[in-house]
Amino acid sequence: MLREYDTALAYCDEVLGENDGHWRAYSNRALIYVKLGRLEDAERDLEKGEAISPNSRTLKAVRRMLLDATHPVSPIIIIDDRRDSTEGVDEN
Amino acid sequence: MKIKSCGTVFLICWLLTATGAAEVDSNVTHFTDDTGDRMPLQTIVPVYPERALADRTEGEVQVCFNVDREGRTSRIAVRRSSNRLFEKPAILAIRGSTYMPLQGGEELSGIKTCRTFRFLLDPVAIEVPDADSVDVEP
Repeated sequence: MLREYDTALAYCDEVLGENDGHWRAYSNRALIYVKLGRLEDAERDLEKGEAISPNSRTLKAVRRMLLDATHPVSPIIIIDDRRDSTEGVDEN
Repeated sequence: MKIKSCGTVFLICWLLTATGAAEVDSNVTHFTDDTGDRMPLQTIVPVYPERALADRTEGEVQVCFNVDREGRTSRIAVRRSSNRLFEKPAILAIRGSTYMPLQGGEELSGIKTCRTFRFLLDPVAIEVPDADSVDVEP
């Protein structure tokens, strides 16, 4: 299994050193930071990437991974069949 | 070239992450009472929408529908909803759910059955590693 985060990080640093407007490199580096547990660095790169490309789905995916790391949640689904929550429903 | 290399390594990391991702299970609570016209037989639990989960969005949908003699649902309609993201999962869940069939002498009441789905998110405590278990290089 390849976990060459340091190598990937070096490439991203190099790309951003030449072009600091490259949102995809910010996205990639943010993902690497998340994997390395460097969450504040990930947040900083995500903010920069989102400022350049606010609608990027890739950035949103990485943002979710960061949120999962910093604010994990567990979904709860409540199914309520009680009649008091259906008052006023018209008959057929 | 550098961009390509960065992207390639990123892709490998991404694939490792994506293949390790499993569908998130939801905790489910089902409230019923004995005043309902029909008794649920099989209840399908809606899937928490991925986008709502990503955006940390909670919501509620009430769906009303007919139940025929055999317990199948039809004419499913959203009565109220806090966010459209939750409507499709709610409708699909009702479509797959069934109710107890009517017995021979029982008649259809003609009253719509309604079900409310609440999609909630429960914060999970982050486990802080024990200081003794952290490796510190000299």
